[in-house]
Amino acid sequence: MERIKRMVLRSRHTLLVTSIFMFIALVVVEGKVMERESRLFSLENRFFEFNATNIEEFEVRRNRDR
Amino acid sequence: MNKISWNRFPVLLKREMWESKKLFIASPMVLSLLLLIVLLWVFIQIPADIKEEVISNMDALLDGASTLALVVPFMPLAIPFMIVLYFCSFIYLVNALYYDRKDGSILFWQSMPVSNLETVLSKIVTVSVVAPLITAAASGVLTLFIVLALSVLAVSFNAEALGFLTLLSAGLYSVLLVYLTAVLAALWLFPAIGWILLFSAYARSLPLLWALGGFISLLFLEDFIFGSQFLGNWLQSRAGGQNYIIFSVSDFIDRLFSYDLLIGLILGGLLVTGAAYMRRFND
Repeated sequence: MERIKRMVLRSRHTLLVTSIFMFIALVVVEGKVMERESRLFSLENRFFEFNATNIEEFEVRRNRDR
Repeated sequence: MNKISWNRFPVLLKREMWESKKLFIASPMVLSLLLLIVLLWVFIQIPADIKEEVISNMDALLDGASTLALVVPFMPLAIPFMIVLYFCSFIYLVNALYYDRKDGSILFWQSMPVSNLETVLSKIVTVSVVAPLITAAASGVLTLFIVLALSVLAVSFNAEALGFLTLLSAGLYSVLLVYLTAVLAALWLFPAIGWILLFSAYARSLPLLWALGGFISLLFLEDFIFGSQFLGNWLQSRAGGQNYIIFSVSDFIDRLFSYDLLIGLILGGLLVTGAAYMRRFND
């Protein structure tokens, strides 16, 4: 434990990377455990509809509308 | 190194308020004064017949209404104050652990019997408990003015539902709710506070760019490498104001002990610990 602590506190950069890594790991694990939906960027209103999970469908619709 | 002495803590808070009085004391006071002048001007400009109509409509609307119904119209008054508070808090947090490294005063502060954790915690308490108190007080001054103005109008136009004490209690309750909303917002956004403090303690220059750029890069990298968007989803789930705007004290207690807030506190705590340890590395 002491060795890990020494390694993390070796420089400001290792500390930053470790902090960010632990933060992201916790966010991802919590997301997986709570089954948070992995949504992608989507826009939807009565004029425009875009969903980044389905780019092909967007292109097909755009070509059809031309 | 990272021990906390609660006896010294009020002194640290005083130091923070002394160093940031323009951000947290002058800004809400000036805003309150400006809005008072604008309201006074509007109050003088409106013709008497329109005033009478407004008061009679309010009287009819609020006749027999509960205190909560009277509180809600007062709440929007706090919106400009909350915007200023968020803006000032953001500027404060970006510079909180950066400027004392830049001007070298960190060496003086570290020679004092104050741990790095205490210093970082004093900044968090300032932004999440003390600054909202001043903001609520400043919005309270405005609320009090409106209560007085409405009471004077109500007496002059014989509106019975708009009694002074009823309006005053509703106004004061709204100020309390504004304060609790600001505190809840700070707790809800605690991971963001931790993130900004971490980069404020890390960056040798441009901490704002590091904090924003770092997060945007991570969003992009997660999507690019893993094809997932857990970080983006998580950000989206915490961004909405509906998560921390409250209309009753019980609402505050419910949200205070909600799962989402507690997990946010753990995540923020992780980043704050990183920021406290980062203070070991002086430039």
